[in-house]
Amino acid sequence: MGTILLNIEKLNDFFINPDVSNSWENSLIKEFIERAFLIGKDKTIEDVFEKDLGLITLQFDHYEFFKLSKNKKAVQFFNNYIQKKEDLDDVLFDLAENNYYEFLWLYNDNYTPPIEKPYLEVSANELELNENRDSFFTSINMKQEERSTEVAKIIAEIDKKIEFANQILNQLKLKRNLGEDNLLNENVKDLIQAQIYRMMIDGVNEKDIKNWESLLSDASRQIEGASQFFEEDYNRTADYFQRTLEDLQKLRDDIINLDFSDFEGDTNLYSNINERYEDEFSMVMNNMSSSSYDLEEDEPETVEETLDRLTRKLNLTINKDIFVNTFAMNRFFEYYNDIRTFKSDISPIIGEWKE
Amino acid sequence: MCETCKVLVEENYQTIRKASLKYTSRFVETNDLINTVVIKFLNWKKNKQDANQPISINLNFFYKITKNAAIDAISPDTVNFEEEIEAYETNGNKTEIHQNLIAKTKFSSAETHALVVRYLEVLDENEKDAFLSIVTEETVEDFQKRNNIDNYHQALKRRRRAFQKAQSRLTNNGENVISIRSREGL
Repeated sequence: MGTILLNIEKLNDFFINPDVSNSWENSLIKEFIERAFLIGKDKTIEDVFEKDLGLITLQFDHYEFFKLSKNKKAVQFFNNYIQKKEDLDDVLFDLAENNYYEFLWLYNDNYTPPIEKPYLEVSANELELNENRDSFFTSINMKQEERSTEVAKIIAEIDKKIEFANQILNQLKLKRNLGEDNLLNENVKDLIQAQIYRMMIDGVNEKDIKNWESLLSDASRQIEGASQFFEEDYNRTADYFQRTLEDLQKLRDDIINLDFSDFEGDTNLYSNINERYEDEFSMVMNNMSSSSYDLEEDEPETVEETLDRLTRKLNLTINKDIFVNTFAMNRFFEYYNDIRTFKSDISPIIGEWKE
Repeated sequence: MCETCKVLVEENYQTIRKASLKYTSRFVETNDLINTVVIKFLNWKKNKQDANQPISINLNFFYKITKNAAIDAISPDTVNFEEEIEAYETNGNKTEIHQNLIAKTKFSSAETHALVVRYLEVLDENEKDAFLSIVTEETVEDFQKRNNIDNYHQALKRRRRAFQKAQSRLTNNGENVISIRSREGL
């Protein structure tokens, strides 16, 4: 038994054939992969990629490893593994079902994927470049640096707007019911209901009870109307900011994924896109400034404190490295999307009530 | 007394529908069970009022009535329920308002009922309960309390497992294969 030089190719081979019965190498690789899958729950990046490596020497970093979440075989292996590690799955489901926006806000605030820059692969026999080629590449590099700086500025600006839109969504979510209890007359309705019961027990005549029941009906109608108003008001605002957030994130991804080596493109593209969003976003922000939502900040929590709060009911803990564990994060997003889809299909049928 | 009935049924009709879906899968069966549950409730309420007793409905109330009604429905001896029907029809409880409440609590269309059932068809009774709890936004705490589950984590785990079971059958590469929007499930 020696040491293993573990690279991405070997990992890919393992996911195609994860048989460990006849291979000590595969057993070690499996152990390593399973430790990496627990990053964010029981492990940190440091635990898995720097400590406890044993006989394994890694030829990739955690970023390269988690890019494997695009590999179907790897995802299948993760899905089988997480069935045995239900605590992690429970946390992800609970976050998706009950704390989606707050966790998403933390994720966006704490995880920025590295921008992959294209590079030119040059083989050994091409090293002797003539002067023209040299000058051509120098020119390309200068333009590329110029373009990268410009793009970085745009990305930074979009990030600020994403953060702000997230903050508003978060505030909306956290303060959704603030003050509503005082405006809704639920407690009045309960008092009337209790009064009717008392009258029934005391044997008060039916006419008086009917009068009170009529008042109870009025109170119920008022609550229903007010609840509907609050619900629609909240949904409209939340939907708008969710759409804005998604648009901004798409814009950000599109810019990052643009082929930077295409120098014949429209040099005004980025600034045009930026201006368009600048205008739309300014308009929304101006509208928000005159709205009733209170954006005053309380004493800020640390990321760890927020994660502890979000998982307290489950009596489990996670750490902020969960954000780089794309296998786990993809499962979180998949849960959220499916819950949302199933709700939108079933809830209207169960809730249908024709007056 | 009918205003209170109206308020109470309107507050609980979704629970009655969900509880009925636990035990039935055919449109007619589900609506028959809903009919039974609402009649049982109206009789129970009238008896309480006649005895001047307070009317108190907890989280599990309609689930218990529905479970008992579902058991009655499959047992050969359904004399109790026939007596209740008779009582409902003869004691002045069968009013237009009550009949209207029963009709509105039933599923209005076989097509939409079938779509909900397609989501539930691989699930057992407890799993159906957990799945419907999630998609109708019952809190984990209420679900836990209603089912007498020891702690939040156990309740969440039961919900997650039920959801996953439905999810694995209903989605194919991230696509909902029986989405109501596509109507392909019918």
